[in-house]
Amino acid sequence: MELKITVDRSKCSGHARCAMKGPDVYELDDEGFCISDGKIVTDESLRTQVIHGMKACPERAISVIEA
Amino acid sequence: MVGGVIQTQDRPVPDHVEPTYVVDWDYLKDPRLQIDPHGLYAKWTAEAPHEVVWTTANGGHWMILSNEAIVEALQTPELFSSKHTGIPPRPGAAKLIPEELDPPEHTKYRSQLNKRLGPKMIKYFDGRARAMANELIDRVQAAGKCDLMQALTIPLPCSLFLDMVGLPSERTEEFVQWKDELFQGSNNEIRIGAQQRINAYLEEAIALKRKDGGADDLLGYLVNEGRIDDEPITQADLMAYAFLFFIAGLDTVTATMTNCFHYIATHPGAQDKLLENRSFLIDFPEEILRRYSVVNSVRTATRDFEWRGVQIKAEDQFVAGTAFANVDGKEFPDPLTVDFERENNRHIGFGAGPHRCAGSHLARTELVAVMQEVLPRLPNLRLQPGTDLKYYAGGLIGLTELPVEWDV
Ligand code: HEM
Ligand code: SF4
Repeated sequence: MELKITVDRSKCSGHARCAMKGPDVYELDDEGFCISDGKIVTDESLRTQVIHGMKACPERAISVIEA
Repeated sequence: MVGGVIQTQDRPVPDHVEPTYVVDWDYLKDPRLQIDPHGLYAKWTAEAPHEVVWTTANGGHWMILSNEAIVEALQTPELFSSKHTGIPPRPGAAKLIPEELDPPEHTKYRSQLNKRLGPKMIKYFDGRARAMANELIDRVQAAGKCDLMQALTIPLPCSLFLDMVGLPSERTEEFVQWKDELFQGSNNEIRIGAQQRINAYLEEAIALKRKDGGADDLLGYLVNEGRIDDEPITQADLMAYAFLFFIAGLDTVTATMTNCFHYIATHPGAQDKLLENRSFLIDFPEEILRRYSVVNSVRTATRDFEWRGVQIKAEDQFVAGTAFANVDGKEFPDPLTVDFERENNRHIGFGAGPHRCAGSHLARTELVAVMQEVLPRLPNLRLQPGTDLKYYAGGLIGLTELPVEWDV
Protein backbone atom coordinates (compact mmCIF):
# COMPACT_ATOMS: atom_id res chain seq x y z
CA MET A 1 0.00 0.00 0.00
CA GLU A 2 0.97 3.60 -0.45
CA LEU A 3 -0.74 6.50 1.27
CA LYS A 4 0.07 10.06 0.27
CA ILE A 5 -0.50 12.77 2.86
CA THR A 6 -1.31 16.32 1.81
CA VAL A 7 -1.36 19.11 4.39
CA ASP A 8 -2.89 22.44 3.39
CA ARG A 9 -0.37 24.72 5.08
CA SER A 10 -2.70 27.71 4.79
CA LYS A 11 -5.25 25.91 6.95
CA CYS A 12 -2.94 24.17 9.41
CA SER A 13 -2.91 26.29 12.55
CA GLY A 14 -0.75 24.08 14.69
CA HIS A 15 -3.20 22.14 16.86
CA ALA A 16 -0.83 19.14 16.92
CA ARG A 17 -3.83 16.81 17.03
CA CYS A 18 -2.54 14.89 13.99
CA ALA A 19 0.65 14.03 15.83
CA MET A 20 -1.26 13.03 18.95
CA LYS A 21 -3.28 10.46 17.03
CA GLY A 22 -0.50 9.54 14.61
CA PRO A 23 2.79 10.03 16.47
CA ASP A 24 4.80 7.83 14.11
CA VAL A 25 3.42 9.47 10.99
CA TYR A 26 2.90 13.19 11.52
CA GLU A 27 5.83 15.43 12.35
CA LEU A 28 5.59 18.92 13.79
CA ASP A 29 7.94 21.85 13.63
CA ASP A 30 9.01 23.63 16.81
CA GLU A 31 5.89 25.78 16.80
CA GLY A 32 3.55 22.81 16.48
CA PHE A 33 2.71 23.07 12.77
CA CYS A 34 2.55 19.90 10.73
CA ILE A 35 5.46 19.40 8.32
CA SER A 36 4.37 16.12 6.78
CA ASP A 37 2.95 17.60 3.58
CA GLY A 38 3.81 15.27 0.71
CA LYS A 39 4.82 12.38 2.94
CA ILE A 40 4.24 8.92 1.52
CA VAL A 41 3.56 6.11 3.96
CA THR A 42 4.13 2.56 2.78
CA ASP A 43 4.12 0.70 6.09
CA GLU A 44 0.73 -1.03 6.39
CA SER A 45 0.94 -1.02 10.19
CA LEU A 46 0.82 2.78 10.16
CA ARG A 47 -2.42 2.98 8.21
CA THR A 48 -4.63 3.60 11.26
CA GLN A 49 -2.32 6.33 12.49
CA VAL A 50 -2.46 8.04 9.09
CA ILE A 51 -6.24 7.95 9.04
CA HIS A 52 -6.87 8.79 12.69
CA GLY A 53 -4.44 11.69 12.50
CA MET A 54 -6.19 13.04 9.43
CA LYS A 55 -9.61 12.75 11.05
CA ALA A 56 -8.51 14.47 14.25
CA CYS A 57 -7.47 17.68 12.49
CA PRO A 58 -9.88 20.45 13.59
CA GLU A 59 -8.94 22.62 10.60
CA ARG A 60 -9.63 19.86 8.05
CA ALA A 61 -6.17 20.60 6.71
CA ILE A 62 -5.10 17.02 5.98
CA SER A 63 -6.11 14.83 3.09
CA VAL A 64 -4.89 11.35 2.30
CA ILE A 65 -4.97 9.56 -1.02
CA GLU A 66 -4.28 5.96 -1.81
CA ALA A 67 -1.39 6.33 -4.24
CA MET B 1 -39.63 33.37 14.16
CA VAL B 2 -38.97 30.61 16.64
CA GLY B 3 -40.31 30.69 20.19
CA GLY B 4 -41.11 34.23 21.30
CA VAL B 5 -41.75 37.77 20.20
CA ILE B 6 -39.55 39.46 17.66
CA GLN B 7 -38.70 42.63 19.53
CA THR B 8 -37.55 41.65 23.01
CA GLN B 9 -34.93 44.40 23.06
CA ASP B 10 -34.95 48.06 22.13
CA ARG B 11 -33.37 47.49 18.75
CA PRO B 12 -35.75 46.19 16.07
CA VAL B 13 -34.66 43.37 13.79
CA PRO B 14 -32.70 45.06 10.99
CA ASP B 15 -34.13 45.02 7.46
CA HIS B 16 -31.43 42.77 6.03
CA VAL B 17 -32.52 39.85 8.26
CA GLU B 18 -35.26 37.54 6.93
CA PRO B 19 -38.01 36.90 9.54
CA THR B 20 -37.63 33.10 9.31
CA TYR B 21 -34.05 33.48 10.56
CA VAL B 22 -35.01 35.27 13.77
CA VAL B 23 -34.91 33.69 17.25
CA ASP B 24 -34.83 35.15 20.76
CA TRP B 25 -32.15 32.89 22.25
CA ASP B 26 -29.97 34.55 24.86
CA TYR B 27 -26.58 32.85 25.17
CA LEU B 28 -25.52 35.25 27.93
CA LYS B 29 -28.53 35.46 30.25
CA ASP B 30 -30.84 32.46 29.75
CA PRO B 31 -31.35 31.10 33.30
CA ARG B 32 -30.98 27.50 32.07
CA LEU B 33 -27.32 28.23 31.38
CA GLN B 34 -26.56 28.00 35.09
CA ILE B 35 -27.67 24.39 35.25
CA ASP B 36 -26.59 22.84 31.96
CA PRO B 37 -25.13 25.29 29.45
CA HIS B 38 -23.86 22.65 27.02
CA GLY B 39 -27.20 20.90 26.98
CA LEU B 40 -28.81 24.18 25.98
CA TYR B 41 -26.22 24.82 23.24
CA ALA B 42 -26.88 21.33 21.88
CA LYS B 43 -30.63 21.93 21.96
CA TRP B 44 -30.35 25.24 20.13
CA THR B 45 -27.96 23.73 17.62
CA ALA B 46 -30.36 20.87 16.93
CA GLU B 47 -33.48 23.07 16.76
CA ALA B 48 -32.07 25.97 14.78
CA PRO B 49 -34.19 26.71 11.68
CA HIS B 50 -30.96 27.51 9.77
CA GLU B 51 -27.28 27.09 10.55
CA VAL B 52 -26.99 30.87 10.93
CA VAL B 53 -29.75 32.68 12.83
CA TRP B 54 -30.34 36.19 14.12
CA THR B 55 -31.16 36.54 17.79
CA THR B 56 -32.94 39.57 19.21
CA ALA B 57 -31.15 39.11 22.55
CA ASN B 58 -28.30 41.37 23.68
CA GLY B 59 -29.08 44.13 21.20
CA GLY B 60 -29.28 41.71 18.24
CA HIS B 61 -26.57 39.54 16.70
CA TRP B 62 -26.00 36.43 14.59
CA MET B 63 -25.53 32.99 16.11
CA ILE B 64 -23.65 30.41 14.08
CA LEU B 65 -25.03 26.99 14.87
CA SER B 66 -23.16 24.33 12.94
CA ASN B 67 -19.65 23.03 13.43
CA GLU B 68 -18.79 23.45 9.76
CA ALA B 69 -19.94 27.08 9.59
CA ILE B 70 -18.24 28.01 12.86
CA VAL B 71 -14.93 26.54 11.69
CA GLU B 72 -15.29 28.42 8.41
CA ALA B 73 -15.94 31.72 10.19
CA LEU B 74 -12.95 31.25 12.48
CA GLN B 75 -10.78 30.39 9.48
CA THR B 76 -11.86 33.46 7.51
CA PRO B 77 -10.62 36.57 9.37
CA GLU B 78 -10.94 38.68 6.18
CA LEU B 79 -14.71 38.61 6.72
CA PHE B 80 -14.98 37.69 10.41
CA SER B 81 -12.82 40.11 12.37
CA SER B 82 -11.65 39.60 15.95
CA LYS B 83 -11.64 43.32 16.66
CA HIS B 84 -14.26 43.04 19.40
CA THR B 85 -14.32 40.18 21.89
CA GLY B 86 -17.63 41.20 23.43
CA ILE B 87 -21.28 41.57 22.39
CA PRO B 88 -21.98 44.44 22.28
CA PRO B 89 -18.44 45.83 21.79
CA ARG B 90 -16.79 47.46 24.81
CA PRO B 91 -16.04 50.96 23.56
CA GLY B 92 -12.65 52.45 24.34
CA ALA B 93 -11.14 49.32 25.93
CA ALA B 94 -7.44 48.70 25.23
CA LYS B 95 -6.77 46.13 22.49
CA LEU B 96 -5.98 42.62 23.62
CA ILE B 97 -2.84 41.37 21.85
CA PRO B 98 -2.98 39.20 19.76
CA GLU B 99 -6.58 38.23 20.49
CA GLU B 100 -8.21 41.36 19.04
CA LEU B 101 -5.90 41.85 16.05
CA ASP B 102 -6.57 40.55 12.54
CA PRO B 103 -4.00 39.28 10.03
CA PRO B 104 -1.59 40.57 8.79
CA GLU B 105 -1.05 42.58 12.01
CA HIS B 106 -2.01 39.54 14.08
CA THR B 107 0.56 37.30 12.42
CA LYS B 108 3.51 39.41 13.57
CA TYR B 109 2.44 39.37 17.19
CA ARG B 110 1.33 35.77 17.16
CA SER B 111 4.53 34.32 15.72
CA GLN B 112 6.44 35.71 18.70
CA LEU B 113 4.38 33.51 20.99
CA ASN B 114 4.55 30.34 18.94
CA LYS B 115 8.31 30.29 19.35
CA ARG B 116 8.05 29.85 23.11
CA LEU B 117 4.75 27.99 23.41
CA GLY B 118 5.28 25.21 20.86
CA PRO B 119 4.95 21.57 21.94
CA LYS B 120 8.68 21.10 22.47
CA MET B 121 9.08 24.07 24.79
CA ILE B 122 6.52 22.68 27.13
CA LYS B 123 8.52 19.89 28.75
CA TYR B 124 9.57 22.22 31.54
CA PHE B 125 5.99 22.99 32.50
CA ASP B 126 5.17 19.32 32.78
CA GLY B 127 7.57 18.93 35.73
CA ARG B 128 6.41 22.18 37.33
CA ALA B 129 2.73 21.28 37.05
CA ARG B 130 3.36 17.89 38.69
CA ALA B 131 5.28 19.41 41.58
CA MET B 132 2.67 22.11 42.14
CA ALA B 133 -0.22 19.65 41.99
CA ASN B 134 1.41 17.48 44.64
CA GLU B 135 2.13 20.43 46.91
CA LEU B 136 -1.48 21.58 46.70
CA ILE B 137 -2.89 18.11 47.32
CA ASP B 138 -0.55 17.64 50.34
CA ARG B 139 -2.49 20.41 52.06
CA VAL B 140 -5.90 18.77 51.76
CA GLN B 141 -5.37 15.04 51.32
CA ALA B 142 -5.79 14.04 54.98
CA ALA B 143 -9.04 15.99 55.35
CA GLY B 144 -10.83 13.69 52.92
CA LYS B 145 -12.79 16.54 51.38
CA CYS B 146 -12.40 20.03 49.91
CA ASP B 147 -13.66 22.42 47.29
CA LEU B 148 -11.35 21.21 44.57
CA MET B 149 -11.49 24.57 42.80
CA GLN B 150 -10.14 26.51 45.79
CA ALA B 151 -7.67 23.76 46.65
CA LEU B 152 -6.31 22.93 43.22
CA THR B 153 -7.83 24.08 39.97
CA ILE B 154 -7.70 27.81 40.74
CA PRO B 155 -4.26 28.13 42.36
CA LEU B 156 -2.44 25.75 40.04
CA PRO B 157 -2.85 27.67 36.76
CA CYS B 158 -2.03 30.86 38.67
CA SER B 159 1.24 29.45 40.00
CA LEU B 160 2.14 28.19 36.58
CA PHE B 161 1.35 31.57 35.08
CA LEU B 162 3.63 33.30 37.57
CA ASP B 163 6.30 30.78 36.68
CA MET B 164 5.80 31.44 33.00
CA VAL B 165 6.35 35.15 33.41
CA GLY B 166 9.24 34.43 35.74
CA LEU B 167 7.70 35.69 39.00
CA PRO B 168 7.92 33.83 42.32
CA SER B 169 4.93 31.55 42.79
CA GLU B 170 4.86 32.39 46.52
CA ARG B 171 2.62 35.27 45.57
CA THR B 172 -0.05 32.99 44.13
CA GLU B 173 -2.65 33.69 46.82
CA GLU B 174 -2.45 37.42 46.41
CA PHE B 175 -2.65 36.97 42.69
CA VAL B 176 -5.72 34.72 42.87
CA GLN B 177 -7.46 37.42 44.88
CA TRP B 178 -6.73 40.11 42.31
CA LYS B 179 -7.92 37.84 39.55
CA ASP B 180 -11.22 37.26 41.34
CA GLU B 181 -11.63 40.96 41.92
CA LEU B 182 -10.91 41.65 38.27
CA PHE B 183 -13.40 39.14 36.86
CA GLN B 184 -16.04 39.08 39.57
CA GLY B 185 -15.56 42.36 41.48
CA SER B 186 -18.94 43.67 42.64
CA ASN B 187 -18.30 47.20 41.41
CA ASN B 188 -16.17 49.07 38.91
CA GLU B 189 -13.89 50.48 41.55
CA ILE B 190 -12.86 47.03 42.75
CA ARG B 191 -12.31 45.85 39.20
CA ILE B 192 -10.24 48.86 38.21
CA GLY B 193 -8.24 48.60 41.43
CA ALA B 194 -7.48 44.96 40.68
CA GLN B 195 -6.49 45.76 37.12
CA GLN B 196 -4.09 48.44 38.39
CA ARG B 197 -2.48 46.06 40.87
CA ILE B 198 -2.12 43.39 38.21
CA ASN B 199 -0.63 45.89 35.78
CA ALA B 200 1.80 47.16 38.41
CA TYR B 201 2.85 43.60 39.05
CA LEU B 202 3.31 42.81 35.37
CA GLU B 203 5.27 46.02 34.96
CA GLU B 204 7.55 44.91 37.75
CA ALA B 205 8.00 41.56 36.05
CA ILE B 206 8.92 43.22 32.75
CA ALA B 207 11.42 45.51 34.48
CA LEU B 208 13.04 42.50 36.15
CA LYS B 209 13.39 40.77 32.79
CA ARG B 210 15.00 43.83 31.24
CA LYS B 211 17.52 43.90 34.06
CA ASP B 212 18.53 40.25 34.04
CA GLY B 213 18.48 40.01 30.25
CA GLY B 214 17.35 36.36 30.31
CA ALA B 215 15.16 34.91 27.57
CA ASP B 216 14.42 31.46 28.96
CA ASP B 217 10.83 31.99 29.97
CA LEU B 218 8.11 33.41 27.74
CA LEU B 219 8.11 36.91 29.16
CA GLY B 220 11.92 37.10 29.20
CA TYR B 221 11.92 36.08 25.57
CA LEU B 222 9.39 38.74 24.56
CA VAL B 223 11.21 41.46 26.50
CA ASN B 224 14.77 40.68 25.46
CA GLU B 225 14.58 38.91 22.12
CA GLY B 226 11.10 39.52 20.71
CA ARG B 227 10.90 41.58 17.52
CA ILE B 228 7.94 43.25 15.79
CA ASP B 229 8.84 44.82 12.42
CA ASP B 230 12.52 44.31 13.34
CA GLU B 231 12.17 46.47 16.45
CA PRO B 232 12.14 45.39 20.09
CA ILE B 233 8.59 45.04 21.41
CA THR B 234 7.35 48.30 22.96
CA GLN B 235 6.50 48.54 26.64
CA ALA B 236 2.82 49.09 25.82
CA ASP B 237 2.70 45.95 23.67
CA LEU B 238 4.51 43.92 26.32
CA MET B 239 1.92 44.96 28.87
CA ALA B 240 -0.89 44.04 26.50
CA TYR B 241 0.64 40.62 25.85
CA ALA B 242 1.16 39.89 29.54
CA PHE B 243 -2.35 41.00 30.37
CA LEU B 244 -3.80 38.71 27.71
CA PHE B 245 -1.93 35.65 29.04
CA PHE B 246 -3.50 36.51 32.31
CA ILE B 247 -7.00 36.65 30.84
CA ALA B 248 -6.57 33.75 28.44
CA GLY B 249 -4.55 31.29 30.45
CA LEU B 250 -6.08 31.24 33.93
CA ASP B 251 -9.84 30.79 33.99
CA THR B 252 -9.84 28.66 30.85
CA VAL B 253 -7.50 26.13 32.44
CA THR B 254 -9.31 26.32 35.77
CA ALA B 255 -12.65 25.66 34.07
CA THR B 256 -11.37 22.77 31.95
CA MET B 257 -9.50 21.10 34.80
CA THR B 258 -12.57 21.44 37.00
CA ASN B 259 -14.68 19.86 34.26
CA CYS B 260 -12.32 16.89 34.11
CA PHE B 261 -12.58 16.29 37.86
CA HIS B 262 -16.32 16.92 37.81
CA TYR B 263 -16.78 14.20 35.24
CA ILE B 264 -14.66 11.75 37.22
CA ALA B 265 -16.42 12.56 40.49
CA THR B 266 -19.82 11.87 38.94
CA HIS B 267 -18.96 8.76 36.90
CA PRO B 268 -17.99 5.76 39.01
CA GLY B 269 -15.38 3.66 37.25
CA ALA B 270 -13.94 6.54 35.24
CA GLN B 271 -11.12 7.14 37.70
CA ASP B 272 -9.87 3.53 37.57
CA LYS B 273 -10.20 3.38 33.83
CA LEU B 274 -8.05 6.48 33.45
CA LEU B 275 -5.39 5.25 35.85
CA GLU B 276 -5.15 1.89 34.15
CA ASN B 277 -4.63 3.13 30.64
CA ARG B 278 -2.33 5.98 29.76
CA SER B 279 -3.74 6.45 26.29
CA PHE B 280 -7.16 7.18 27.82
CA LEU B 281 -5.50 9.77 29.99
CA ILE B 282 -4.36 11.60 26.86
CA ASP B 283 -7.69 11.34 25.04
CA PHE B 284 -9.79 12.11 28.12
CA PRO B 285 -9.06 15.86 28.42
CA GLU B 286 -9.65 16.17 24.66
CA GLU B 287 -13.11 14.68 25.00
CA ILE B 288 -13.82 16.90 28.02
CA LEU B 289 -12.60 19.91 26.01
CA ARG B 290 -15.16 18.93 23.38
CA ARG B 291 -18.16 18.01 25.54
CA TYR B 292 -17.64 20.79 28.07
CA SER B 293 -16.01 23.52 25.98
CA VAL B 294 -15.28 26.68 27.90
CA VAL B 295 -15.06 29.45 25.27
CA ASN B 296 -17.62 31.15 23.02
CA SER B 297 -15.78 33.57 20.77
CA VAL B 298 -17.20 36.58 19.02
CA ARG B 299 -16.52 37.87 15.50
CA THR B 300 -17.57 41.08 13.72
CA ALA B 301 -18.28 41.44 9.99
CA THR B 302 -15.64 43.48 8.14
CA ARG B 303 -18.01 44.40 5.30
CA ASP B 304 -21.34 43.52 3.66
CA PHE B 305 -21.39 40.01 2.21
CA GLU B 306 -23.65 37.05 1.56
CA TRP B 307 -22.97 33.91 3.54
CA ARG B 308 -24.79 30.59 3.83
CA GLY B 309 -28.12 32.04 2.74
CA VAL B 310 -28.03 35.24 4.76
CA GLN B 311 -27.19 38.83 3.99
CA ILE B 312 -24.55 40.15 6.39
CA LYS B 313 -23.94 43.87 6.99
CA ALA B 314 -20.61 45.38 8.03
CA GLU B 315 -20.31 45.51 11.86
CA ASP B 316 -22.90 42.76 12.42
CA GLN B 317 -21.68 40.59 15.30
CA PHE B 318 -21.55 36.79 15.52
CA VAL B 319 -21.22 34.26 18.29
CA ALA B 320 -18.88 31.69 16.78
CA GLY B 321 -18.79 29.51 19.87
CA THR B 322 -16.45 26.58 20.29
CA ALA B 323 -18.98 25.31 22.84
CA PHE B 324 -21.67 25.31 20.13
CA ALA B 325 -19.48 23.77 17.43
CA ASN B 326 -18.47 20.92 19.71
CA VAL B 327 -21.99 19.72 20.51
CA ASP B 328 -23.24 19.73 16.92
CA GLY B 329 -24.73 16.26 16.47
CA LYS B 330 -24.02 16.31 12.73
CA GLU B 331 -20.30 16.41 13.48
CA PHE B 332 -20.26 14.47 16.77
CA PRO B 333 -22.86 11.72 16.98
CA ASP B 334 -24.54 11.61 20.39
CA PRO B 335 -22.81 14.89 21.23
CA LEU B 336 -23.57 15.05 24.96
CA THR B 337 -22.09 11.63 25.71
CA VAL B 338 -18.49 11.52 26.88
CA ASP B 339 -16.74 8.78 24.94
CA PHE B 340 -13.03 8.40 25.76
CA GLU B 341 -12.59 6.47 22.55
CA ARG B 342 -14.53 8.79 20.28
CA GLU B 343 -13.23 8.49 16.76
CA ASN B 344 -12.67 11.55 14.61
CA ASN B 345 -12.65 13.93 17.52
CA ARG B 346 -11.74 17.06 15.59
CA HIS B 347 -13.07 19.29 18.35
CA ILE B 348 -12.30 23.00 18.37
CA GLY B 349 -12.10 23.46 22.14
CA PHE B 350 -8.97 25.52 21.51
CA GLY B 351 -10.55 27.43 18.65
CA ALA B 352 -9.65 27.23 14.96
CA GLY B 353 -7.97 29.40 12.36
CA PRO B 354 -5.24 31.93 13.06
CA HIS B 355 -6.35 32.63 16.65
CA ARG B 356 -6.20 28.98 17.65
CA CYS B 357 -5.17 29.00 21.31
CA ALA B 358 -1.50 29.89 21.63
CA GLY B 359 -1.40 28.15 24.99
CA SER B 360 -3.00 24.87 23.86
CA HIS B 361 0.17 22.82 24.16
CA LEU B 362 0.82 24.22 27.61
CA ALA B 363 -2.79 23.63 28.68
CA ARG B 364 -2.76 20.00 27.49
CA THR B 365 0.47 19.32 29.32
CA GLU B 366 -0.98 20.84 32.47
CA LEU B 367 -4.19 18.81 32.26
CA VAL B 368 -2.56 15.43 31.70
CA ALA B 369 0.14 16.04 34.34
CA VAL B 370 -2.40 17.05 36.96
CA MET B 371 -4.72 14.10 36.27
CA GLN B 372 -1.83 11.71 36.49
CA GLU B 373 -0.54 13.06 39.81
CA VAL B 374 -3.81 13.75 41.54
CA LEU B 375 -6.09 10.83 40.62
CA PRO B 376 -4.07 8.17 42.52
CA ARG B 377 -4.03 10.39 45.61
CA LEU B 378 -7.79 10.97 45.89
CA PRO B 379 -9.24 7.45 45.68
CA ASN B 380 -12.94 7.01 45.00
CA LEU B 381 -13.37 10.70 44.24
CA ARG B 382 -17.01 11.78 44.42
CA LEU B 383 -19.18 14.86 44.98
CA GLN B 384 -20.02 15.75 48.57
CA PRO B 385 -23.61 14.66 49.32
CA GLY B 386 -26.21 17.33 48.67
CA THR B 387 -24.06 19.25 46.21
CA ASP B 388 -25.90 21.45 43.69
CA LEU B 389 -23.50 22.60 41.03
CA LYS B 390 -23.85 25.86 39.15
CA TYR B 391 -22.27 27.28 36.02
CA TYR B 392 -21.48 30.79 34.95
CA ALA B 393 -21.82 30.92 31.18
CA GLY B 394 -21.18 33.60 28.58
CA GLY B 395 -17.96 34.17 26.67
CA LEU B 396 -16.38 31.81 29.22
CA ILE B 397 -18.17 28.84 30.71
CA GLY B 398 -17.28 27.16 33.98
CA LEU B 399 -18.41 25.76 37.30
CA THR B 400 -18.43 28.00 40.37
CA GLU B 401 -17.36 25.34 42.90
CA LEU B 402 -16.63 21.62 43.09
CA PRO B 403 -17.09 20.22 46.61
CA VAL B 404 -15.68 16.68 46.57
CA GLU B 405 -14.68 13.94 49.02
CA TRP B 406 -12.50 10.83 48.78
CA ASP B 407 -11.41 7.82 50.83
CA VAL B 408 -8.67 8.40 53.39
C1 HEM C 1 -7.83 24.48 28.63
C2 HEM C 1 -7.39 25.69 28.58
C3 HEM C 1 -7.61 26.65 27.44
C4 HEM C 1 -8.64 26.75 26.56
C5 HEM C 1 -9.87 25.86 26.46
C6 HEM C 1 -8.33 27.86 25.67
C7 HEM C 1 -9.13 28.25 24.62
C8 HEM C 1 -8.82 29.25 23.73
C9 HEM C 1 -9.61 29.61 22.58
C10 HEM C 1 -10.92 28.95 22.16
C11 HEM C 1 -8.98 30.63 21.95
C12 HEM C 1 -9.42 31.31 20.65
C13 HEM C 1 -10.28 32.50 20.91
C14 HEM C 1 -10.78 33.11 19.61
O1 HEM C 1 -10.63 32.54 18.52
O2 HEM C 1 -11.37 34.19 19.69
C15 HEM C 1 -7.79 30.94 22.70
C16 HEM C 1 -6.88 31.92 22.39
C17 HEM C 1 -5.73 32.18 23.13
N1 HEM C 1 -5.27 31.49 24.22
FE1 HEM C 1 -6.15 29.90 25.08
N2 HEM C 1 -7.14 28.42 26.04
C18 HEM C 1 -6.65 27.71 27.12
C19 HEM C 1 -5.45 27.93 27.79
C20 HEM C 1 -4.53 28.90 27.48
C21 HEM C 1 -3.28 29.09 28.17
C22 HEM C 1 -2.73 28.24 29.31
C23 HEM C 1 -2.68 30.17 27.62
C24 HEM C 1 -1.38 30.72 28.09
C25 HEM C 1 -0.45 31.19 27.48
C26 HEM C 1 -3.56 30.64 26.54
C27 HEM C 1 -3.30 31.69 25.71
C28 HEM C 1 -4.07 32.07 24.64
C29 HEM C 1 -3.75 33.19 23.77
C30 HEM C 1 -2.53 34.09 23.87
C31 HEM C 1 -4.80 33.27 22.83
C32 HEM C 1 -4.95 34.28 21.70
C33 HEM C 1 -4.34 33.72 20.48
C34 HEM C 1 -4.53 34.61 19.27
O3 HEM C 1 -5.36 35.52 19.30
O4 HEM C 1 -3.81 34.38 18.30
N3 HEM C 1 -4.67 29.84 26.49
N4 HEM C 1 -7.71 30.07 23.78
S1 SF4 D 1 -3.94 18.69 13.42
FE1 SF4 D 1 -4.25 19.84 11.55
S2 SF4 D 1 -3.98 21.95 12.15
FE2 SF4 D 1 -3.13 20.69 13.73
S3 SF4 D 1 -0.95 20.51 13.28
FE3 SF4 D 1 -1.96 18.77 12.42
S4 SF4 D 1 -2.43 19.42 10.36
FE4 SF4 D 1 -1.99 21.26 11.47
